[in-house]
Amino acid sequence: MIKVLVIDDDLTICLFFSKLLEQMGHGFELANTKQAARLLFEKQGFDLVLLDLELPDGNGLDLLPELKGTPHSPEVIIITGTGNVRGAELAYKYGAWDYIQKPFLLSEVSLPITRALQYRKEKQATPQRIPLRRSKIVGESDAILNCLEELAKAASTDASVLITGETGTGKELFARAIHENSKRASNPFIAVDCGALPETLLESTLFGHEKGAFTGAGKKQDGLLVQADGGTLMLDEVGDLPLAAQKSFLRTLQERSVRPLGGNREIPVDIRLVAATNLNLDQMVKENRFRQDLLYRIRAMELKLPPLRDRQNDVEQIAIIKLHELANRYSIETKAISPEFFKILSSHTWPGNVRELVNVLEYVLASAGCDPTLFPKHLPVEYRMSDLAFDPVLSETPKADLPVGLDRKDEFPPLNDYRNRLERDYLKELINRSNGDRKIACKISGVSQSRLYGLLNKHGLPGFGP
Amino acid sequence: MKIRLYKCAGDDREKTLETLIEKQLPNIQTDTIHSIRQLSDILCRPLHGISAMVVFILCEKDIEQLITLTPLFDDIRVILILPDRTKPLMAQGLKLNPCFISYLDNDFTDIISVLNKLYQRAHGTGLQL
Repeated sequence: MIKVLVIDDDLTICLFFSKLLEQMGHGFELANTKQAARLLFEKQGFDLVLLDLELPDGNGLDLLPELKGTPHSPEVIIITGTGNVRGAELAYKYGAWDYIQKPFLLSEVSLPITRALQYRKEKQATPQRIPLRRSKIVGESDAILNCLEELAKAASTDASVLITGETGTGKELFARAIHENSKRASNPFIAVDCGALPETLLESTLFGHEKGAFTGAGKKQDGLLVQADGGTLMLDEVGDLPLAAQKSFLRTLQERSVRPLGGNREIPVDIRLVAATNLNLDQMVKENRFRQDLLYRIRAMELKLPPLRDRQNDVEQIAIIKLHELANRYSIETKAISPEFFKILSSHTWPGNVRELVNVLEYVLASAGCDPTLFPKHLPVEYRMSDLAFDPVLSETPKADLPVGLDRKDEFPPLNDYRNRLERDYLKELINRSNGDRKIACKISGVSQSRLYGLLNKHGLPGFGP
Repeated sequence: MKIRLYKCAGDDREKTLETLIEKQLPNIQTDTIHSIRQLSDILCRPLHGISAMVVFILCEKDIEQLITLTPLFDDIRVILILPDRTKPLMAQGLKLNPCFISYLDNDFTDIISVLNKLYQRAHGTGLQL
């Protein structure tokens, strides 16, 4: 029997849903606080949760990630009398099925309930997926597990995928993993770095050319699109693809055939495209530097890779595995690692992401030589400095030079408190300067929309308009 | 920026390329390796500092040997120079994950322009060719 949990402190609403669910033939439980709900879903699993946001012991939205994280992972419909755009966006981001505002008509709730349960039934009936081959992807953080889930979805289809993320987050690794887990795995995976080739060579490399197509084209040559036939083509740094090549590439995707430079013949190709970039392609479209029609084509699915600072829990595991791999490569003994060493690695923000971490580990192995254990002293100086929680020359610093918000008379705050205070002040000012426009705020701050919302939520600050 | 030219025995085209690089890309250091053992030894040293490698291939066997070293090519741009344009040889060559493929019968101007682009990316400026 379908089991539904209604979390609402309004007795009228509870009564309404009790009758409705009874009529629909579903079992149900009622909870009027977050605490009561927690006790219930710790004891039993539910298929659907109807969740009010205004509960006596806090915002119901806080329960959503917990509910989705339980083994049963129920579908959740938000029922609220105080809805707003930001709340709805957060709810969808956390995986809510629907967001319904009070007052509502019977049909406005009965249909979403039916649809959510239909979706759940179909999902449960779907055959078990083949276990995902992770290739070299390391990490158990929520951020990386979510990406792996998306990766599995991408691998099970033949749709084009756009992988976005900062430099060093592992875009090529994910592209390879999509290929290796797809039905094309036994065929070629070819990666082309659009930023590494001069414009003049990029087109002939991709599309090939006929003899005499241009100066220096002494012989006919197949392009990589033909070589990738049956397999996956990865266009790395796709934002660097020149406009002329974008047009030809769009044509190839639409026609599923390649016309080599200087030729009239069409060569049929069957490729799956995975593109990657660290640029904002939507912005490039606005600036007429990237074709919108091509962006639609390459972004049938999007995989956003998190920066390493958003998955600090993975730093230790990545470091252990990479140190082991590097020690093997350099034929040196695997080293023990001191907790202080890990502490410094975990407190760094890694602007260069995993690539930066691996480079540091390579340096560490070289600097450690025959030392059997890695200590902070083996790290580059700038990384050791970043762990210092005090300013060693503070006592000699004139008051005027003290950082914002610090006063010699006040008690010196812990670093986290100071950081949080600055972050909150920054966000307040950001909201002012962007006049409540989220896109402008993202542009000014250089952080993604989802991260910005996460930060606003963390500091309990109001969000932006639609 | 440091690049290595790797060539298997039997040809001296790498000297032509080396001279061209010296002349047209004077900021790029080059040196030539003649054996797979030597190449493996260099890549197995921490902080070897090699950004790019130009690999001269004379036959399919050369590629097979090199494929065993691909795990060591992380973060190294491989430019492959193949002896012919046959599809199977190119397919084998692609297993080395090259950023560019050229051919022995080309005049290497394409390779010079790719190296210049890589230098431009690494240093934020190109060289006047």
